[in-house]
Amino acid sequence: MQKGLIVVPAYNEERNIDGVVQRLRLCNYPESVLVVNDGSRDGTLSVLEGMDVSYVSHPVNLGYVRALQTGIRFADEHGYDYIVFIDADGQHDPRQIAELKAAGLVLQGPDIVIGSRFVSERRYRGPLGRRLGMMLFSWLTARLGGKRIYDTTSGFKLIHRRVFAVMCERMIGDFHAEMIVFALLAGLKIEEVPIAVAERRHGVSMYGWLESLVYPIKTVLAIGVLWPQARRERRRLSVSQHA
Amino acid sequence: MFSGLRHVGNGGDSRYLSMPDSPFTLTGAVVLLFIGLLGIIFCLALVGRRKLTMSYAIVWVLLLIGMDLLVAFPPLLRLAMRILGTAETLGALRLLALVTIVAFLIFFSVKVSVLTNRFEELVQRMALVDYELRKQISGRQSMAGGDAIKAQDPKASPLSRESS
Repeated sequence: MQKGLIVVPAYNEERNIDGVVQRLRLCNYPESVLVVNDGSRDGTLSVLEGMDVSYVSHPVNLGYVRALQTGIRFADEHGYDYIVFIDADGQHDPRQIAELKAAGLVLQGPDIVIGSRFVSERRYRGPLGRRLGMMLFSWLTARLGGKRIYDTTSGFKLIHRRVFAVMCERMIGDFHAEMIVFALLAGLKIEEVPIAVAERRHGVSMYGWLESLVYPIKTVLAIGVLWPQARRERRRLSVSQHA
Repeated sequence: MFSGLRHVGNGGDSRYLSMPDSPFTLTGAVVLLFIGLLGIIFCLALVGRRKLTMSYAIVWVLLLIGMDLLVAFPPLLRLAMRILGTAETLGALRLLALVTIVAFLIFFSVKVSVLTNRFEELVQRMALVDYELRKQISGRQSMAGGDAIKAQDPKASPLSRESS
């Protein structure tokens, strides 16, 4: 029986976090739940302190990817076999974790399972700029990584222990397209399962207009940096598999 | 800083240093040497007051020594001109200043990035240790009995209690 951890990275989610944790509880999953409070400036930490949930709290805000990294480090140190990441804004339906697990927890299964908003019938209708960006990065994964991943910015993912270290060391972007390209080039298996997302109820997205402008540049640069590393990683992984 | 600079071709003007193509007047050279010396003393004073680490002070002291050497020995400036491929000393100085500034910016960007990474890793480690601490406290309190639990909320982070 594999031991799993559900990681909820949270930044300024005092009005959403309680609902997300409650909905996770209602699902009665065997996985432990860990909220990573990323130095929230609102009352997220107080809400967590008042709830019966495990949490780790960054004293200052480090950013989304560092929150994920803390979750991975926690899982690594506590011997978990896989992690499911789910956003704290309430957009993901915790019931769909079952679908991620069904796709990911099989023998010789994928290393990463992504909950995708674009392979379902109820397609995600985000802002035009965002959709165009996603189309570009999806095309890049196909061109560079050899497999088209439709939702490169999904925060709803399952990753296996065998890639904890690789993912943790290489996180230089937002764990989006650049990591997907890296993982594909490194020979890791990625699959997408369809999910539906709801609109955020409270608070604001972590991507403001400035971040949205910088994001594509940052991601393309990160792909460029990770490209040669992925080749090396592929060789390393194939050697360790044969050994 | 370079207010004492003059163009090449001073035509034997006695106000200029003995080198025929020195861009500095004697006053300008003395002022620059003085500024360099003062800068070095200031850097060392900052190190003494623990406001600047020795590794950074060395960088600044070397820069200031370099500036003083260029002022005191005009042949060095001519060498720089030849290396940089500039036709006039002022151009060479401008280019040197630009290259130095860019090099410094890159150097400090790297330093800041390394420190940011270390800081972020430290914060992550701190958060994980804080979790373990809370777990231990809550474990001890549940063993001690209900009163202890009432007295101190085990869910509250020891770090957040400290900070509050």
